[in-house]
Amino acid sequence: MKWRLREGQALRMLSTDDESVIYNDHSGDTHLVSAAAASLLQRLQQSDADTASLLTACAAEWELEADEELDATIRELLTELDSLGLIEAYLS
Amino acid sequence: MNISALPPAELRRRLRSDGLYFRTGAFTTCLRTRLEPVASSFSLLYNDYPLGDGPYADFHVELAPPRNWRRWIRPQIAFLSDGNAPFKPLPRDQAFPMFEWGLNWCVSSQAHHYLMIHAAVIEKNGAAAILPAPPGSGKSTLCAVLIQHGWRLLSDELTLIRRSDSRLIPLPRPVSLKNASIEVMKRYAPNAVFSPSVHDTIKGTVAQMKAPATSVARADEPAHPGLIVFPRYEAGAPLALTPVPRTRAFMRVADNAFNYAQLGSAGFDALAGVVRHSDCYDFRYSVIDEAIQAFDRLSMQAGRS
Repeated sequence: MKWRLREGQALRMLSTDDESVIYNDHSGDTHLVSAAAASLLQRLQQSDADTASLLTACAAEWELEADEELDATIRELLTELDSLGLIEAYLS
Repeated sequence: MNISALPPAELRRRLRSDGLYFRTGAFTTCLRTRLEPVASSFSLLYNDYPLGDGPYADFHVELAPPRNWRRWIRPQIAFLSDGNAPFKPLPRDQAFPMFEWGLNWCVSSQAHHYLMIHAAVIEKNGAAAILPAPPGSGKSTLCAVLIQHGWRLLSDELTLIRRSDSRLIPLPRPVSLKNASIEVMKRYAPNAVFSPSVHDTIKGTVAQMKAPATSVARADEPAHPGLIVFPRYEAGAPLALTPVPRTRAFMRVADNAFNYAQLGSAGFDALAGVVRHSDCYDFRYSVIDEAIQAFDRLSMQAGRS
């Protein structure tokens, strides 16, 4: 299973070091999300990815161990972004 | 030609007949009324504004008695926009504040080619400061004080953001003051011009302070964003200036917008263009002179961080 940005999301964004505001082209809502969530979105904007490869990439970017804790955090963030309608999962 | 060039009798003749056309920044309004108190306050506060050419106007407004039996019992006045009454009539002595509120309504309900924020906006040293705040925060009083100290008034109520380039479009009109702030400003700016106070309105006692002529003369000059300051008056409190992350400022300003949701992604882009170029602060004050000094410092530093 892979993740991708939902079609039509242009990912308009205003960011600080800690968080971002993002315009949701589907709902018309504006979301305040963590820098980690914004980073995941930007990765998915570049290319679709599965959870494992996102874990590896984020661990490298954030200089953290790719352990269970980080895995759980990333899964939680992906679920949150999915529920906002910004991303979606599909069977690859 | 400005309204001041009209002899008083001609001003009243126009108000009573086809209407008086005048420009406030980007908007032309046609005002009709037979009410002398409105003519008098209008003449007092609007004499620096340029006359407009009829018959085109963005807003055709009229202040007139409502057409019902109540006019014979308790004199009332209705605000009409293009012949329609968007509000319930008010007591006749509230006609001039009703004109001001009504004109704000005309802009905020129709000017969707701008992103409109419920906020004061002033400018100094090339940097505009947007002051979004709920009623009671001292926004209008602070705005009134600052425009007596070299800040240019763009608006005390409506921040208009041009969607194409996120510049701020002036709409300099009289500053609405209420209750204690009226006397505060009369003491603070004894040379300023005020409309007569009107009591027992929905906002309490209200009066308008005339916009500085220099601000009216520059009503066609957009301003660059530089500051977003959320003011809060707190009696006896020491001055405090607390940085606000741009992301948080964005959400708070969007909450104060009239039409952010309606504009969709264009609203996001316009607001992002303002916030990216603005230093953002929470600002608590109690001493006016300290507030003036703090704002002057901010205007010098704006946009450098």
